[in-house]
Amino acid sequence: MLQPLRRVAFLLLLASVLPAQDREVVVYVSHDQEHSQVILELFEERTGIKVKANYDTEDNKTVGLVTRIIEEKDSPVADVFWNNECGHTVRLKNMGLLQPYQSPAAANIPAEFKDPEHYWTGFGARSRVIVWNRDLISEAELPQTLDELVDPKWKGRITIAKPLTGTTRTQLGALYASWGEERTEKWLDALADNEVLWERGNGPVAQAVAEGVRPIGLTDTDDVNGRRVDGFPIDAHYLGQKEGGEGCLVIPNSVMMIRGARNEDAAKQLIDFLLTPEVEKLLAEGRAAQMPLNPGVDVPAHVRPVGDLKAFKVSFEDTGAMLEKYGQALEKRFTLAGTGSEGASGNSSLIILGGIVGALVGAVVVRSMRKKTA
Amino acid sequence: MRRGGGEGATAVVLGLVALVPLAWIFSRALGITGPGVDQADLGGTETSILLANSIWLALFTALFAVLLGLPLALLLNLRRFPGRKLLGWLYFLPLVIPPHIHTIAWARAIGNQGWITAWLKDSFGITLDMRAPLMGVESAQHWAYPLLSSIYLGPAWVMACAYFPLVALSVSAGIRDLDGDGIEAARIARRKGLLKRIILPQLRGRILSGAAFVFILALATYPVVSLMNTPTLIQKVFIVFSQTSPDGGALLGLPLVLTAAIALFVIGRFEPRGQRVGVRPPAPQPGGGLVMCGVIGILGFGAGLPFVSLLIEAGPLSLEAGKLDNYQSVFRRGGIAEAFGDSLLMGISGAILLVAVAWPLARLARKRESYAFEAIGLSVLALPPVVVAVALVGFWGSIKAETMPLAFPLVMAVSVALFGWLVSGRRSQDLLRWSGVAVGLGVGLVLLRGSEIARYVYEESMTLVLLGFLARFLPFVLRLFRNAYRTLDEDQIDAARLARRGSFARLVRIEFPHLRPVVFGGLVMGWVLAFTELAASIMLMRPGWASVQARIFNMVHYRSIGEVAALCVMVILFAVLPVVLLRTLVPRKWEVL
Repeated sequence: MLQPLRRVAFLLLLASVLPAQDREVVVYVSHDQEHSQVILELFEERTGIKVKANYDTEDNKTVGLVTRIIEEKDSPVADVFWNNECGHTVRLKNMGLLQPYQSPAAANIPAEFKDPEHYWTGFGARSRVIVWNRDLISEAELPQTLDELVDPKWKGRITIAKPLTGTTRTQLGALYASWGEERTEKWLDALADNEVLWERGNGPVAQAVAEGVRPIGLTDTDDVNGRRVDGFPIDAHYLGQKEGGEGCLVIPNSVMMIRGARNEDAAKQLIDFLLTPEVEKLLAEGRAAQMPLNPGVDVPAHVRPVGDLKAFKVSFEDTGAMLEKYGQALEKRFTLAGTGSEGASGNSSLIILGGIVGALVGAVVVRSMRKKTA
Repeated sequence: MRRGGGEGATAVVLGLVALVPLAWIFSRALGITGPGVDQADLGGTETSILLANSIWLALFTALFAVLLGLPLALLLNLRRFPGRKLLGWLYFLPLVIPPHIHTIAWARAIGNQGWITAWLKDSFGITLDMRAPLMGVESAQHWAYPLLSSIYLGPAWVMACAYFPLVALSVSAGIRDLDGDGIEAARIARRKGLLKRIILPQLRGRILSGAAFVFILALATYPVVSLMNTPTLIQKVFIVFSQTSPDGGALLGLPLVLTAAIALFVIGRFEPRGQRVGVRPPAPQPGGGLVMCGVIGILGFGAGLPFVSLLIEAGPLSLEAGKLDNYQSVFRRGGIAEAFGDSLLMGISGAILLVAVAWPLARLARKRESYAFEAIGLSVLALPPVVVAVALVGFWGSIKAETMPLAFPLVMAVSVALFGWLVSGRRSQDLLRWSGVAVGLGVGLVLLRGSEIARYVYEESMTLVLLGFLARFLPFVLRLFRNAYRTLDEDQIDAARLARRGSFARLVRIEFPHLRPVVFGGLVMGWVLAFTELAASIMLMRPGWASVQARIFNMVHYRSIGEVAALCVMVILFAVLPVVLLRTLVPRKWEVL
């Protein structure tokens, strides 16, 4: 038995000492593989550097990769992390898991979308928008601010993703940071009174509006565009753009180098590449229709460059801090929202279950006793 | 304990693969080897509601699975009808379709925009919402509210469709153990209620056993509740992970494991014990077209209807007749072929490894009948896959980086050896051997710290994914072998031993011929489980590896539903292919499934 084990160990050892490819970079990517893989292949083609990528599933909401980076902190595998949002990026920075790199390609990226200490840089952004169904509502009726969503005229007509993960959670963090606790929670209470349909994610929000379940919803530009391309009668409407408006929240992709990266030079080259206008153009042309942060990038008509928008003023550092502070409260408030279990009593359900289990155990005991008696 | 070095090595492998990493993450969460978790909210009202929802969901899944699986097994095994062999081939199909594909397919049938939903609404005015409690049927909710507001029939039905072959498999095995002569005698004597009074009571243990498997798998199946937004405890585990609190998530998985252990312990008391050697199984009686329709109907619900839904979306059953663009555009996407290749490699390697490890372990434990041990071993199946994945990443990462406290491997080595000794018979004369195992394992773990092997396991190859498959599915495949060993003729083994035949000779000459069907069954089961696994492998895959199941999940996000359906169809065909090949290549007498 030990002989085969020895052989396996030897083979493993042999394989591990074989020379690795000279130039490679390991990147964790939480942006959809459908869009990111093409860009990474282009990088390979241009530089000859082998890219070893690990992709997450959208449904994991970057959880898998962020958890891995944290678990790997003592011995990092990844050199670069391409995150499709900023919330966890700030968290990783605060945990000391990133190393700074000031990319020359980031020179034209607006300051609010990059870290002042150069731990991360934003590119290709999404925006939080109202998705609306052209068959059910006219553009003139649409709300202009987040506050208008709690107007009784929208009762039972809105759908929003539960702010437990992803960009909806980030938006709540931004609201806590900008509006403060009292105003944000009043707004959340009012939304609940307005019978919002709480969906599991931004994609289902856009889908519910596309299918006419609700006339409007709060979601991301990429989710709207995907369904618009598929022929659904929906469009994106940007909030807070009128005179005196607060603007709409813009959430960029973020790219960063992992502390202890073993392929530092290749990592820097990849970061430089991702921040180029060329990559932003590719991201804008894809189904996700991401908005370029570099000025002057040619984009399709349905994509609005960030420079043309009034953006919601909030720092991602503050947003991250608020999510640390209010994350559990959001979890308590929203885990059961929109599922039909909101009014359920945990105790009554457990009592019934306890009864069932008790009866089963009782039956087993009685059966055993009868057997013994027999 | 039987002699030979295999048993000790197997115990070491089992310990390394599953028990030690899990012990590592729980000890860290509890603050023994790490910072610990401030709050996992284990006792909160919300957690108790979610746990109750999980248990209800699993109970109804098991109930639906029995309703589908039991009649299927009875009809296939006790009746002869046209097309029986072909249908006997097909009944494994629902298990080959991954649960997330079942969900996507059923959503196209009974979702908001589903064709069955539309038909029910147009014809009878019934509005269905597969995601709501009691399917959103208002009259049912009014009747049941509030006590049964936690019952989500939609996801329960979808999971039952995915898992009911497990009940059918278990019952089929039970039917083969029935006393055919006795049943034939009762039939000749025209005893009334043959099924109710004679057959079903004897199958009770098998039915419960199959239902128990479905129950624990339903507790831990994440993709279905994720796609259908069902508030269950496993969803909260993922939410806690999203706050990047792996330790908190791990602790939240414990009630699920405990629930599974209790259920298995209770059900284990009903399970059949002892050997059934030399019993002739009942001969199938003639059945007619009605029986055939019944079997087709059940298989149609389980696999046919979801498959047709996918073909309607993807083509060629598309309303835009004969459209196959979706298949072409899927193949044009970069990385799909590589993802299929990697998934194939991981699936096949996983299946072989599962059989290779389960077999000697079953041989080791064949003399022991411990309800508690079995319940503990199998209840690991209810552990959220993400917890298993993080445990493996954290454990091997800390070995590679040499950050694991030295005391941990030593304590674990002793625990694993103790575990092996308990399993193998608790005989005092074996203590010395198991002490040797403890020392060997402890030294091995210490030597592994910072070694090239640890780096290779952690950074390169698919080793972590394979370890994940072992940690998640070993108890499952182990049980197949364990049950087969229980029906082995021990007299033959003893005779061979008396004739001074060695352990290897006994294995080859006596055990292997008896176990061939199980080897085949184990390979098929291992392939299905490994190929369809998503939640753990997505976290365990090393850079450069891809999984076709993950691609499906990604494509769902951007809602090119035709392409998603096309990819699902290809994945199903791809998953079925090795099963068909195995069944075609091996002799018919090897059939077990």
